[in-house]
Amino acid sequence: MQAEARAVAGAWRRMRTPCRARHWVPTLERHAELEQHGIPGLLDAAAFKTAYTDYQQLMVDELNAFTVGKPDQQQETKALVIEFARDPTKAHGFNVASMAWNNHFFFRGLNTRPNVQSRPSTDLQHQINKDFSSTDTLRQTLLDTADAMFGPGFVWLVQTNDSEFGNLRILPTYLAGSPLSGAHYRRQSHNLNTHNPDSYHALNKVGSFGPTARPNHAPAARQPLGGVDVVPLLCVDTWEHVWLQQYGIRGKRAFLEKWWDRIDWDMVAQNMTRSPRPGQGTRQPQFLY
Amino acid sequence: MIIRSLVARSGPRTLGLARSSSRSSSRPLRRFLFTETDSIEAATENSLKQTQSLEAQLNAQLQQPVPSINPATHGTSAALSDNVAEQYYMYKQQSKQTGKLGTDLSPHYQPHTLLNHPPSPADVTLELLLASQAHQGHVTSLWNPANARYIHGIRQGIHIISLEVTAAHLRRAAKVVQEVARRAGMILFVGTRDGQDRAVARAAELAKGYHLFERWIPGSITNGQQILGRCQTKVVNELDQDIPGFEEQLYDRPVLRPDLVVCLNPLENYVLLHECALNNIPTIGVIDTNANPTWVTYPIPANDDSLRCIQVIAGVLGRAGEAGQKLRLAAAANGEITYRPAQDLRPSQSERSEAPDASAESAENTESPSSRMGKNVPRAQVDEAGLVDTDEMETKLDEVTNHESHRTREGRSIKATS
Repeated sequence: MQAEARAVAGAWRRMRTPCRARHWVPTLERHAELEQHGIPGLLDAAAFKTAYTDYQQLMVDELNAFTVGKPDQQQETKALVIEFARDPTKAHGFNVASMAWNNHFFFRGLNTRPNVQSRPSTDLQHQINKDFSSTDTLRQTLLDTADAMFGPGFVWLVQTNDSEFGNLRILPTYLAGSPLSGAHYRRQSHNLNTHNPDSYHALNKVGSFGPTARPNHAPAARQPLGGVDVVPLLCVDTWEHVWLQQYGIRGKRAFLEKWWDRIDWDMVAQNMTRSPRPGQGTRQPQFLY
Repeated sequence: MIIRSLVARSGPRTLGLARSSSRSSSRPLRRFLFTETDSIEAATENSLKQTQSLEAQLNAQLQQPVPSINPATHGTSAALSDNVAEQYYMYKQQSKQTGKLGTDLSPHYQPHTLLNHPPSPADVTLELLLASQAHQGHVTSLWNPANARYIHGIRQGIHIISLEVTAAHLRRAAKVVQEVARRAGMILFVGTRDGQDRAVARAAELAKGYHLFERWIPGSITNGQQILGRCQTKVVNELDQDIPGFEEQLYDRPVLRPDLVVCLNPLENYVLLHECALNNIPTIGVIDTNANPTWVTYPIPANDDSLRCIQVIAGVLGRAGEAGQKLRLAAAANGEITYRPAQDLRPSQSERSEAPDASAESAENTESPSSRMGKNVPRAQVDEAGLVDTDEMETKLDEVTNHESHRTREGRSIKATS
């Protein structure tokens, strides 16, 4: 709170010409090094330039074009993602904001130090073992999900704060879909091209009871406030512009396997939300399959 | 379950890929609940039914039913407690972690920061004043010619106030506020127009002064005993700590008056400013091109019609007061008193028994409103020139207590004037 107050107080001096906000490409840790050498063990310099520098600049430019001059101009990207998700007329704005957020999340979750190997912390390891029975299973499931998705998207490891059923889950989002709870209108976790009303209940709006009725989730679940029920922890970007240049047309699996070794597990632990109540999430699930 | 249906829809190749790349081929397949011999089409059709039947089976077996997943958000009904405080705490954690991802926003004006984190006198720049519309005066036909020295020129039919002049006067006023606060003076911030209440209250909070955003009751200074006579007062020491035991003496004391008044809309507060002038109370005021600069002691030529401008000015003066209070308390922590203590407070019974020889140096300082008592502070450390001798003070005290009409001595406060 103190640091925040000081930072804002200094902002009056930094703001030489008080003006309306504009978006800029965010810098990563040791950004100059990354621009020169790429991400060691994952992307070379040219691939990093395409995947982050150029693509993020494109998203920023599109976002500026969409928001400058409008009332949304001064909002952060995450807030824009949640706001635009429910408005079909703002679909383009949602796409570019969501891609900017997802892409930055992906690159921030990478371990860019060449000589450091990142491992999950004990707490995180314990949680993974509880929810996935082992890190190998998690790896297998996650990479297979990403490989099986036809077309671009992201695959997320999310925390759902469910003490009874398990905290961690895998969530795929196609194209520019967002894992954020507030943007669930545009989650895009299913490929609708391979669904019909019988296989995916969201497509089937017929009747209020019977075999085609939407399953009744009684009692009516009250969503927790603030969108805290889904917390993204890490993600892999399976868009072609990330891996195609370096790994070739058949290189998706190779890219995924190399990505697994470059995960920054400290960032994953940092992203986790800890409940203030002690003992939350430590109960053993009743059933494991 | 994701793998089964996902792989099923993605084609038979992915099944083969998954198998070949896994280290132990049987392990991932064990998680699947159908064998490879089932046709893909049948699996697709049955997936939803199997999910539902699975859930029914599980719920039947377990003591606690497995909670069903809300397809909208993938959360469960038992996922989080209904505790709003817990949800708020988690929300704050998450927005700190991921709230600013995606792009960097350039520093920009956010209205709430003018109230929550106002600029200090060092942050005052011409750009800030210009952006806050401080330069915009009134139509030229409405001007007060006494303001000619503050006006830069005319544009689009209105007078433009010179921002260098505004900045200079604002810095001077900030210095005055800081010094009055450093010397433990009572500062009153007044702003009676719509929307000025938050700025005024915030400035008073920072400067540890007082605020007024409703109508000034005429006579609150000139007829103070009548209007404010029943207000609660208290005695504090140099560290702003309450000292009990003076209630009876406070009952007879005269009403307190501000030592400095900051007025954000002098055009509507002529009576207040006039009363201050009658009683030698210095005033600071925001003077627009149609206002009279002689009504206040320290004018700040600026736009009093713009709330943003008023918030900047009130914020700057509040910050100056905050700095002054900090200096005063720092000096008090070192044993220095930066003000003249109240002259005529007799020490309470407990203090008298503890230190019968020590001089009763009491400080009258106005706090909420209150009087100060310097507790047994050695004379050598007091930083005030012109402090009276002990004997002289005792004679004066006797005079005061024995004089019948001491309460209404020429309508002035008994505080020693320099």
